[in-house]
Amino acid sequence: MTGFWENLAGIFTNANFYFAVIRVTAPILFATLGCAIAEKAGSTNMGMEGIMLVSAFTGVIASAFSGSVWVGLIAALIAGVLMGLVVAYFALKLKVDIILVGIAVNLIGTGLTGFLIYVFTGDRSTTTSLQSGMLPQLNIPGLQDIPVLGSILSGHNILTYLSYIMVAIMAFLMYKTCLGLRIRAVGENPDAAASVGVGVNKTKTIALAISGLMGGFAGAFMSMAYLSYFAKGITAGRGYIALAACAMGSANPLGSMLTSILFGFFYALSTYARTLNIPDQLVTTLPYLATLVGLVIYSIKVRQNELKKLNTKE
Amino acid sequence: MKDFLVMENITKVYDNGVMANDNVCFSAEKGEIHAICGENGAGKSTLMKLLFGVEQPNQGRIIIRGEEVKLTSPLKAIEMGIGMVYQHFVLVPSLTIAENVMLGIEPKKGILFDKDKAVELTRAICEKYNFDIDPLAKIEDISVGVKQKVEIIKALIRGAEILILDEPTAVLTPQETKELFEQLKLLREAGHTIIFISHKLNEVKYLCDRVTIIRHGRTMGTHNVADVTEADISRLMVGADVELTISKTEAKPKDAVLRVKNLVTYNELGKKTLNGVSFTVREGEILGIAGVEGNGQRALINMITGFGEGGSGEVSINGKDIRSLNIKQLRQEGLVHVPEDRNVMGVAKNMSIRENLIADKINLPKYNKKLTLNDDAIDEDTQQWIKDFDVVCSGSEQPVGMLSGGNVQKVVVARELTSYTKLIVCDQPTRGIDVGATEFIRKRLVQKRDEGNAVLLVSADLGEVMNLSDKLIVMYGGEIVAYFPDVTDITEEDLGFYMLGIKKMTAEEIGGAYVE
Ligand SMILES: Nc1ncnc2c1ncn2[C@@H]1O[C@H](COP(=O)(O)OP(=O)(O)OP(=O)(O)O)[C@@H](O)[C@H]1O
Ligand SMILES: [Mg+2]
Repeated sequence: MTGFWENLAGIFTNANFYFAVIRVTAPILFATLGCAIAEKAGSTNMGMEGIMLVSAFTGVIASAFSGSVWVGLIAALIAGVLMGLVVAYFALKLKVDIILVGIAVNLIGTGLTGFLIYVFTGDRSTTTSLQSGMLPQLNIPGLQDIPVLGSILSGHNILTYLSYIMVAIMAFLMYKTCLGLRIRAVGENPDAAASVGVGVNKTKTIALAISGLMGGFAGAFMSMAYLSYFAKGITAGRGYIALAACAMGSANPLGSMLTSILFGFFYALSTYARTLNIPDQLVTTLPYLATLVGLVIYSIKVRQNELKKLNTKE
Repeated sequence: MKDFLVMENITKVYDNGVMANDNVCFSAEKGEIHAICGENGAGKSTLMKLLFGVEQPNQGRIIIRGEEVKLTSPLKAIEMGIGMVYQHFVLVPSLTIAENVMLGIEPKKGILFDKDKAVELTRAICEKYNFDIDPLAKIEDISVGVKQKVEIIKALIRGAEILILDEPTAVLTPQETKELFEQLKLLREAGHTIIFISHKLNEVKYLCDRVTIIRHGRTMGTHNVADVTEADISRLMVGADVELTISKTEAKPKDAVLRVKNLVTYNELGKKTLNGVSFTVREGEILGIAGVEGNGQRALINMITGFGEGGSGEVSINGKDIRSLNIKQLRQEGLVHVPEDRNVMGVAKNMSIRENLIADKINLPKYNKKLTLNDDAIDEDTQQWIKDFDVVCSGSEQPVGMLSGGNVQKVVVARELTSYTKLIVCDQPTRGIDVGATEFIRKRLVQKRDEGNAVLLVSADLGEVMNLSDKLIVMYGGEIVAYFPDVTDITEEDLGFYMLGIKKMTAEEIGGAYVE
């Protein structure tokens, strides 16, 4: 058993591990921010997983056929926004339950991308036969020369940096702009917003479009930064994990970042833990177990607050 | 200006076939406070929804400043200078007062929300109309009275000249009500027209210039308030004489049902909400609790009805400690509860009247055939209760959310009083209820008392507690500050001194509330 502890210590003293944490957090962070803005507007974007899949796939195809990875990125983002608008159309205009719409989007995302891989490549599981690009990595001058810290913080993909910058952008959007004020008002009390002439559906639609945009970034990261091709089920439940992270982070940008990093930590650990001689199957469930534990802790916390309020409302 | 606002031959039929307004005519002048009175379900709120563009009339014309207008949405109504203060405030709890006030008409700096400007504008309008509030306070931290002011300011800042207030005093303490009235008088002086809906006829008498009475969707005429008495108004509303005070025989109390001893509770900040409260309620008596809202009543009711946690002291029902019982078991002991906020705790709004009425009785063998429900028995009884409690509705399948405010409360009372009862806990049982239904509910409570139930009555309506109670306690700052074993010869002024904490009885006198 001593080997186990030594190996574990080995992981935690390895700068590469922390580099990996930052890297694998990025797509979860994008997706969580996307869930958060939708949640703030009072529309749970259950379809995040599906949006990510569609975006990831669209990005690869556009990149391969245009020969430019940037065209691929933009196509992925457009696909994300369109998917967000699809959710909005069904949930707000046609008044279908938004959770059901989300589930449908996820199922379509899985099925459609799986089918289209075959259509485009003749392969059944990946698009490796297509030549699609990778978004560039950035070595940050000055930072990259600092020992240890440099190797953790420098050399990440451009989208990785953007995901963390996005936290600030989202916070700005939610708390400093008129749109943010309206989004929060609509999410908390739609009647209040409607009573002063704020278009509830319009505001929610904008929030869902932004949510889709974040899903677009998350998807693009998966197929153009994390991997260089699209594979069936490439998102591996990250859209669902984002929902959990969003709930635990109270749909705040900062909270979303902290919980995303927590999940990123377990993702990274699950890759590194292969050296620990514990069964692979167990290791790969780590992020999902962490989600479950996190949600349980979160709901206990919420319940306690509610009880307190009920008991002491005076 | 004569006929500043005219609503002519207005007819409104809801999709479910209910004719809520039938050829209604209503007019108001500039600079008057105009009351609308009528029974629950008479169509008052509907008429106001038409005026605010929430609903559209099937027939009739609305004329403002001499011009016919089509009010197709609240936005349109706001443009025409109409403002509405809903009884259930529509505010965003986590935002500040200034943000709520400026929502939708935000001052901007580019895409930025200009917070300072918003605060400044809010402050300016508060000063103009003499409202004493802090624009930076969050809605979740302010009292009901202040929330209402925020709603009024929201309307004023959008240029409202006609202000609709639908049962504005139902949720206010006596002090807040007084303040509101002063404010409204100021607005009247400034030339605003105020439409005031209330079931409290003494308020109408005190505040309003004219009153229009609606019965079953039809106008029964408009009068100068000075020319009519409260009894006149209620006769016009109901079409029959109404007993405003209930006569009852002397109580014949027997064994104790509810015992509360040395109860102490805390809020989340560790502050005491109840401080050593002790009293007993016996079979066959009504114990009233008077007091300004927020002096421990909520914590006390929560502890008795099984929603409380923590704290120290004893609460027992039929000699059993309440904390060892869950809500189902409490109900089996005969506890029924008419909660203060009917919309939050009283009903499931999207479910039918029938389902709401039967919800607490679903396990009774009479309604439950083990595998399926006995629909025939349920139908028969719920129909009967709807009739007994005079719920105005289109049928037992109508969702409760579609009923008028007063009729929702009747559904709650009907469900609770048709349950197995031993201890009846009523929190503001007649809030927002018309005089006829109020009389009915009060009579029912007295009847329940005579059948041997213990009744605990909390009400902000002093007339109600003094009329119904056999014994009365006054709460202030989480303590009992007065106990009256006999209610017959106390006055509202007496109570006022105790309610405001100016006077307090000796420990010995207060101790009389608890009997072994
Ligand atoms: N949205 C709706 N759909 C169908 N029927 C409705 C709706 N709103 C109200 N009604 C019905 O219209 C009638 C008038 O209701 P309204 O709310 O105008 O009464 P009210 O005079 O305000 O009564 P209260 O004093 O109890 O508030 C009632 O019978 C009610 O059930
Ligand atoms: Mg009403």
